[in-house]
Amino acid sequence: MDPINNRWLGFELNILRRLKFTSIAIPFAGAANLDWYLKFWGKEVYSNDLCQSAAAISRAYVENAGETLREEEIDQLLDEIYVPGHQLHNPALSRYWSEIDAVWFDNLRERIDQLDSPYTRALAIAHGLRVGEYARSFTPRTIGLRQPLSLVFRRSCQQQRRVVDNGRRNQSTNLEALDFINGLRADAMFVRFPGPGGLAAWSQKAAEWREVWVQRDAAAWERLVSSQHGKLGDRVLSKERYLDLITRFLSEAKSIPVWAISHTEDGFLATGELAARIGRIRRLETIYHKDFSEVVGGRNTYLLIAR
Amino acid sequence: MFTPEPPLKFPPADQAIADRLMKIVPEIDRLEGYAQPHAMAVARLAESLAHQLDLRGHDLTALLLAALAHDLGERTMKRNYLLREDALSWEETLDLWRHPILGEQQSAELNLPRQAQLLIRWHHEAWNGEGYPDALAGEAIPLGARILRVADTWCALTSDRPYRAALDPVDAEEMIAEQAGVELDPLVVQTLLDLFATERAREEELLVAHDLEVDTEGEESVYEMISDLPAESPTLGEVTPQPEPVVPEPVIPITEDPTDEPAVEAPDSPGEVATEETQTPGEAQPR
Repeated sequence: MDPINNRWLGFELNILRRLKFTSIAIPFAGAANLDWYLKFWGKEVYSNDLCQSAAAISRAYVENAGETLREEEIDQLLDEIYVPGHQLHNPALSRYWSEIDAVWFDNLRERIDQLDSPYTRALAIAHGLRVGEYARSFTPRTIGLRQPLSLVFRRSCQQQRRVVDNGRRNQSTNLEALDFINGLRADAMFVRFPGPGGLAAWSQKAAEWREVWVQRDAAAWERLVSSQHGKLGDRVLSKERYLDLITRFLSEAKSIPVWAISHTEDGFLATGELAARIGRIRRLETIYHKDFSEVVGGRNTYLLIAR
Repeated sequence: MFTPEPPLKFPPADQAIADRLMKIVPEIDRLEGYAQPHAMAVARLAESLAHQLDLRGHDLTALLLAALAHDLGERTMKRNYLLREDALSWEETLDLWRHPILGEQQSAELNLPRQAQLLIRWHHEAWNGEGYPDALAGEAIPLGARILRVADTWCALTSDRPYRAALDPVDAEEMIAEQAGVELDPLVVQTLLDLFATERAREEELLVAHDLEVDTEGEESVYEMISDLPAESPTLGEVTPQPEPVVPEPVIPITEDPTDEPAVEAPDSPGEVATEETQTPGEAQPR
């Protein structure tokens, strides 16, 4: 669900490639990097995220079997994009961007919907999100380095990760995780649970503007946060409550034979406690560990395999 | 204008590791197709950037060791495609993307500090989260790794490579600036550009002070200080008296990441190798 960081991708992929499975469900896809690699390795990937912005990225690179944005489509998106209309279609963009940038993002979002294919629309959204993160990167000291957004968008299109067709029926959905997992048939599931701070913890980070922009709705983020009451994604205050939500989720995923559950210790929930809770539902087979804690921001990271 | 730089300084406790690295580094440079010392140039530039960004003590030492050893993983892989003139295929690119993890493992074998091992692992992470192997983004990438990425990029751009000639420093500056906020941390890029600008101004002042004509065409600057390192005589191994006593780091045996697994062999199916890590008991330790 983390829209930006898919930590710790290299470690998680390393373990996943040792497991035997053909299809895999990923309920909290986030930036969908892991999903993309698994697809590249020939797996059938069912990728889901509650956030429309994350689901769009997944649709662009996981479900999409090879469509790319053509040069004329990029031209069509960017043509006179700085020309303001009578008013912004999505005035909430002014919360996040300067007047000029808000016009750029507003016009881009409107034009994206004029593209014919859902996959090229998803690709254009993915590039727009990248441009947004780019624009947010600069401080007063570094602002002189900032390039025109249209140029950055065009470069993003040129440098995008490869869109592959692996011959499988990969799917990307935008559902509640419980709705997604309920009754889903897949060989394996990879989960990185949202943290105990829930979606609200992402408000000050990248997530909010992304949803407001993609959904073209000022209230998109607040609605998403409030929709998580009583679910993983809600803010919890106790370990027991958090573990209860995890238990509820895993109980719905019993039909999936193998679970790979990534857990990064942050001082709240010890891996042993999570393992004990998983063990109540099914046999815990292996716990893999990687220590990134030597540097600031690094953590002890675990991948728990249960089947 | 070229002023020989003093050797890189390491605390006595790390000097032996630095000496061992220096014996390996020229081989890595050759494997990558660098005619001039690359790793040493990266280390020197990383050191300059680190000073500007207030990295000191153990953080600086780890960065310098990581800079010298950043492509250690390529030594293990020994891929011929590194010396090819044409572009890599997608499969080769993904294969190459394993080298930071192999480098992390190799550097553990050489007993580099854990922090340096992790900087090696993350020296190809990108600011926008599109890097490898862990797809970290922004400030989730440790500053040392962000510095290393900029220094490595700069030194690669301004060096002759098998697939292109060295870029003119002005063009390289432009290209580096374009990558700020994309692959590179804007703050580190700005620091690099400021460093060069300061160096140019200092040299011009020096010329004026000596009543010499400023000839910007033939001017040798910090660019050359990095690129004019002698090909086979790095100065790193020299023992340099430390200006201040350095408290030795406690010796922590690296039990979490031993690297006694064999190196990954060449791929048998192109996609499968993409980000494969060799299993290391500490990294993927069944309990």
